[in-house]
Amino acid sequence: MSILNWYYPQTPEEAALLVQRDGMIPCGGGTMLLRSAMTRTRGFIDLRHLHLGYFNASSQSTTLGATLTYSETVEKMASVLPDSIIGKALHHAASTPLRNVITLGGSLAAAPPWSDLLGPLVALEAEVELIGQNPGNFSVTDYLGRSELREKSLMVNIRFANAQWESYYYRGVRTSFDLPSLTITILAEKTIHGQLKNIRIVLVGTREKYQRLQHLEQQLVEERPHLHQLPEFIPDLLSGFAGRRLGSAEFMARLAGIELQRGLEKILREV
Amino acid sequence: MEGTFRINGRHELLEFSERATLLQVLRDNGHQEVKEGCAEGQCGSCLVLLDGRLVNSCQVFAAAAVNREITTVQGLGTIHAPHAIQEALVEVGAVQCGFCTPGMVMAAYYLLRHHPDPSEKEIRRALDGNLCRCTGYTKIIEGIRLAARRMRQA
Repeated sequence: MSILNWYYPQTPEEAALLVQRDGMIPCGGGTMLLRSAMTRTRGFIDLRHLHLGYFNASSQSTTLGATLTYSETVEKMASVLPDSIIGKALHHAASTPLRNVITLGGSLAAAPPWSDLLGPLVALEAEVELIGQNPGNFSVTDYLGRSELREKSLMVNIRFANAQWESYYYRGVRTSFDLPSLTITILAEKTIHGQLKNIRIVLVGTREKYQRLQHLEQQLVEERPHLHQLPEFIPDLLSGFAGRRLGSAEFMARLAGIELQRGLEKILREV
Repeated sequence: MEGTFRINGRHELLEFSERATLLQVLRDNGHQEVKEGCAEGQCGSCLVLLDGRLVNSCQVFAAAAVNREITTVQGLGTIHAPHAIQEALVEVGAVQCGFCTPGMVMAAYYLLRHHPDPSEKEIRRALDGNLCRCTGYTKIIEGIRLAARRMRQA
């Protein structure tokens, strides 16, 4: 096994230089890194001295520092934005001791298929701020889709606009402390007259890691179906799924369809 | 590499591999009260407090814990001066093979420090990272409720 060095930068600027060297990996909580082979890794950059565990919420937007842990995020969200989909999703993620270690940045950088963070961030159309080889602000979907953005870059924070969302979150698990094989995130915004103005629907655990159902979103806003008409609108999801430990592709697609309908019923009833 | 850890109030300068977990370093240096179970962050046998936060020591790189405060179950109580949680678990018969007990004690301590009067639901949630293959949890929950009552009265 190759020699691996640890670096403890004191500022983001120092970390940005380190991360551009070959084989350097930022380490926030480290839980995903412990699971990886690390054959090409030459060094770890410990992020704890960079003060990236901040939480800023204004009426316009929320900014979450990349080294905030899931627990810290849930605690801060509960006091400032108690209805936030992020708090709702992370509250159930992993276990108490793991929520104390897993960081937002590490979780998004690794984006495992069982992530409870991914669906809410895609639905919120969140952005990440990067430093290093590719500095700037990028949408989470760009960050996930373009590997060159992640290369030799360090995530500093995650930001999303605040809005009056009604939200629904579903986790497909075998037991309450299991990693989810499927998550469904629904965000809905209504007009002052209570009509559906905007809706975002994201499935995680699909073949492509996540799937945003934009066609369905558009149909729901334009056609405003009654609750009893919803089954006609739920798309056939079979092609989007592969088998997971929760069940076969057919089972996953059927489960997603049923839970999607339940979520929409709940959201549309509230709207 | 080497680094200083503050373990149960004592500074310890320890040598360890760059890839070692905190669990490995603790156990290699006499802290065998921290148990190794699954080594995947699922069972909770290796729970410690890191700067006051409950963590699976198998899921933390030792290098990332340098210069930080670590509390193991021995930092809470000993056989001669047990913590109220340890006494309560023994009293209600919540210990069978005992392998999961150090982790259970740490999880209970972390809970009671933040919620001195937890509901059963809160206790169950606080133990969501701990597995016990012997007791079925009922006695453990009873023990934590007893400890909570005594700690509030103390």
